[in-house]
Amino acid sequence: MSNNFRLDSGGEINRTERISFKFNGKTLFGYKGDTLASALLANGIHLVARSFKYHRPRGFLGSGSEEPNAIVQLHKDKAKTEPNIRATQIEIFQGLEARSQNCWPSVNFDISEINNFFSPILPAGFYYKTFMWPAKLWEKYEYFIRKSAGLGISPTKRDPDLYDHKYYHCEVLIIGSGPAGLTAAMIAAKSGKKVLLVDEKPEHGGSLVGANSEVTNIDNKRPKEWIQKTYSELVKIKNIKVLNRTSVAAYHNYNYLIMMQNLTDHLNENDKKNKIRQRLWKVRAKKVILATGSIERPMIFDCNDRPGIMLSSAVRKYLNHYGVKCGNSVVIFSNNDDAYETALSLHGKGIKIKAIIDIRQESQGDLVNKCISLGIKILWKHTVVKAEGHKKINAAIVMKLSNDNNSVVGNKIKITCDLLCVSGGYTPAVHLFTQSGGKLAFDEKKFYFYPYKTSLDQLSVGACAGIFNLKKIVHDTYIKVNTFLKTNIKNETVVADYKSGGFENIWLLPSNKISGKVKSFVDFQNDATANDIKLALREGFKSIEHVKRYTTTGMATDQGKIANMHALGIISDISKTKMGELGTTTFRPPFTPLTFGALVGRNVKQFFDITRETPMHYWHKDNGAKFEDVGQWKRAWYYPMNNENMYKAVQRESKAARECAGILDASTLGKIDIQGVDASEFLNRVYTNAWSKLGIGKCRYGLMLNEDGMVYDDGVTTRLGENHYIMTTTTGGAATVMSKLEDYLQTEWPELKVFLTSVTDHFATVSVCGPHSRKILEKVVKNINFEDQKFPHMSFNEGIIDNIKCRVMRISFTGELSYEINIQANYGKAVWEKCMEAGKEFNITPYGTEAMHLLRAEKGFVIVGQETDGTVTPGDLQMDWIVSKKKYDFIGKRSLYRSDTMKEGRKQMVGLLTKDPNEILEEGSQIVAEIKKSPPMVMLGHVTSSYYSPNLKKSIALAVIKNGKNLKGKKLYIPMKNKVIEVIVSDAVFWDKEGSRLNA
Amino acid sequence: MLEINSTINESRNFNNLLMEEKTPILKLNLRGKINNNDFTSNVGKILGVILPVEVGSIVSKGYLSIITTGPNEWIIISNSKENNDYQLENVLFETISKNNLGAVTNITDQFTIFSLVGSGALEILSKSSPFNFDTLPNNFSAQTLLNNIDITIVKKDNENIDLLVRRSFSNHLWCWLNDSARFL
Repeated sequence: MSNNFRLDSGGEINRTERISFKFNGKTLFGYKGDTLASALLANGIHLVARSFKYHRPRGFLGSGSEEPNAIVQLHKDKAKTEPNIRATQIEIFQGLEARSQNCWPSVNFDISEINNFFSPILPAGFYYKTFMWPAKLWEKYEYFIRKSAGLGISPTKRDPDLYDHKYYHCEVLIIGSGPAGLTAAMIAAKSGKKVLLVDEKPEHGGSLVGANSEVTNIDNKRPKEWIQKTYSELVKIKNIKVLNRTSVAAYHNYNYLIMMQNLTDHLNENDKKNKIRQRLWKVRAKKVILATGSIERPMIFDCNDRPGIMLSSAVRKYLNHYGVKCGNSVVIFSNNDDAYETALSLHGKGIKIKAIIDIRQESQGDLVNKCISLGIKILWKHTVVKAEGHKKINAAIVMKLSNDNNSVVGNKIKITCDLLCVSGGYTPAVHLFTQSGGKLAFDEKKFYFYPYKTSLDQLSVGACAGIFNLKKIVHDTYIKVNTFLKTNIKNETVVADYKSGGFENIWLLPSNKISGKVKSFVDFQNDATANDIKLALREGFKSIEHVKRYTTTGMATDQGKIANMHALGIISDISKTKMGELGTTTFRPPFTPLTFGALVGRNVKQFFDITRETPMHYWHKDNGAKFEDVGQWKRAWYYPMNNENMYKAVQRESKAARECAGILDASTLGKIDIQGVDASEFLNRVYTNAWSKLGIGKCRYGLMLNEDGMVYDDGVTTRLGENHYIMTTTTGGAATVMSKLEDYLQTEWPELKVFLTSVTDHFATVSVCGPHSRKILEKVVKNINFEDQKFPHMSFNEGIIDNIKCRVMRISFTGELSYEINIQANYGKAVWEKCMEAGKEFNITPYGTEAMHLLRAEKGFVIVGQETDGTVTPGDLQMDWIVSKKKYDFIGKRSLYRSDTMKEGRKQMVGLLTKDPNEILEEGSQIVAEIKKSPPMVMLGHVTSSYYSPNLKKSIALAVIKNGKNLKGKKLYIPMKNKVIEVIVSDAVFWDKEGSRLNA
Repeated sequence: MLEINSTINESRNFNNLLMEEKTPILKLNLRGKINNNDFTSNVGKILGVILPVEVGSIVSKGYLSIITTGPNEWIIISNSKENNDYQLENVLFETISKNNLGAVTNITDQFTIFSLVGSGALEILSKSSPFNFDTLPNNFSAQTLLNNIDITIVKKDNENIDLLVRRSFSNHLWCWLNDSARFL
């Protein structure tokens, strides 16, 4: 038999562009415009996949995103390979490589098909029951369960493709460009509103694509011509944007929708280079019109999963749109008139229709009558009881239905065929409607759920609203959309109409065999059968959500687009509960799977997280600094020289800062300009200590608490003028402190006349410390008298460097004589270089944050966020001196007098010295008073900071320990993995307790 | 004279988009109560304009543009390199800050300004800003996020936009703009 199933003419493919591709290693050919599915079918290939559990042969069921069976692995490349791609959605391109998944060694001979023979003992939920015992074997079971879990192979290398994001705002978003969507788009576009029309397919037209042009006629045009005319009119209108290959993945509240646009997947490899592969659209629409169409239902009978059993509408589309016949000898099995359009299409192309099996008693529809007039055999009130064949259907076994449709009667009729078209009616695609929070209602006569209530500004039109007749769709869309958009666009569309017969629904078709011998698949991809659903009900699962999870119905990658209605119907029939009362399972995003790449967009590599740089960043970089992330800032961590490691570099830097001069980039500290007549009072309320008496030109350290009395931030604030201060905050806390203070001013203290302005980025801060720092500053800043009496510790002066104003503060975070120059950021690098030049003779050494941490730890200065963790009060830091007893109030004051914050024995900050001075503690280590042979031990606290001090020549650490204030001199222990470290509790200030160096 | 090191100091031309960092110019932050007549009249006299009230609105006079960035808050931007001195700051500070009518703060280097010119200007912003630019009139400003970074957008028209970004974020944002502009 010929493998060429392509018709000699017809279809919308470009027959002048032949495309070669590979499937399972074999080179095949198709045409531009083919999907992988249509190209494979044109090559006579139906067997493309194996099912998940039983590894049964599977072919194509549908032609779009509803396809549950034909999922394949794309690409061989370890970076680009992609599993679970529906062959019905992939457009072929030169060089495409696809292969079947979930099979070994091949899709034709799959060893795991043995599961199918054991299927009677592998019903739904068997793994829940089977692997419970003996418990000790679980790890063995787990190995095999994990091995068999999942479908396809994930890429193992970095995705080389490019993705990006786009935000879009429109007045009207229309989802779906079928007859209803195109009609709605035309009305909306003519109204002058900003419109976005999207469709997941490459072509527009929805159900009209592949429609029988002899049957369907709009405006005296064939469907194809009407689509082209409408589309070309639409794109001429400036206020509408039309996207194809764009699938709406999620519909959130307030008409916020996520959609993914495929930009290059259909292109040849060469044409894809350096282009965005997929774009994630984040759309906010004032109004949304859902025209998502409907999904044809299959029929549920024994072995209804055989390759060659396809949805009737899909066969029609392959035939009319792709010019592909899916078989040579066809049986059609239906419960409605729509399948007769397929019959007419097939007949028109000269394809033999062996019979139409119809479960209805009769139909007087025009299409039915036309089929009768063409001599097509129709078996009324019959059903297919089994599909025969293995890797492809070769016969349908048909029997007559009993009067009540509950059983079959009479003799079996065997009809040989290579294609069985099934049509169980249509289900409105209400997935996006329900995602948006819309409520569904069930039509007990038409057997479908339809959109009922929504709180959003949205509208459902066409088949997704339960209207399937083309003339009614166009008419209804005009009325509804005109009302929805408050427009008055006249319907001048002329649609040829035909009479349609009725519809009869049987969720689970009767069989001549006992239930246990029948395999009627409901969820094709997950191999969930009608028997599985019955078993779940017998075992007491009543809620649809429970049945879903127990049987895995609707949990495959197609999200139950095909399975859910039948599952509900079967439950309804067995439990004698009305469908409307059963409800549906939750339709969760995404409607169709999204790639991780699209979700991430360009937020990869250097754009993974945003970064901030100081004005001196490139000096640090040019001088070999290693950087650490502090908040979003890139801060110079240490400056290794001659292949130093961090430890050696930090030892050198901190020694230089104490003995000669060190220079630190402190630009990252938060800086807030505070002005106003109540500025002093404001600071009194913000900080724990008093500010009213701080002299102009003086600096003061402040501790800021949260409302719960816990330390929140700290920093030095300088009084620049009578009512003018500049506050510094921690690097990480700058934004939150600014926000908190602004919030207080606006909501709690509106009576204060205070204005805040963030100037963090305006100033570069160069901190020079060490015994020679004064000499260096004198060389750099000419107009300031740096004598100790004129410029004492904790004071400020305005200076000028080369005609540029700067502020110089004499403050110290190292315990050394230290100055901070604050200058406009754009001059920061120049000033830094000037200081380096001036300090050369004093061996000025740049030091990073690690040395800064060491130096301040030697001095016992805390770092908020290192010594504190949101549970530490000033008293816990042994900083009671900074809490004013006289002030009426400040943030957190009340909480400091709670019994818990006042109690003795809280964790308090202390110093730790190791018995062995060379032993460096690990930060975070737990501290105990008594060592036991094995845990648990009573933990007293933990190490917060730990360093080897090159200046003290011994290991030092800070820690928070229960009742630490009273434990000075006490021996404690730190149990580590292989040893126990002995420590002595000490004062937290290790260096220059008298402060003689910073006051020098 | 100290060397100025602005963050980017370059110009890039892409398909439908010319991007460049504007030469650093004087920027002052002005805060004060709009219902305080002393404040508004003094500012009005110095700047020669009536302070705009609506957040986002911009008024220009001579070499100055005044952007309303919040209730009772404005940024004064000099449009001229020649007038990039301390004189205006001093006058305003002496009159407003010193008399406790409000607050004047120099924030010249707090922000870097990128100029985006061309039909791709709004297109590139839509790649990472959730803001609805359809609602932003010409000669108006908006504060929003671009690539998760706080920015102030000054829209002169659809093809001429200034971005004010905090200096520390400017290099990251510039890299992102350059990356995104490739795909316009």
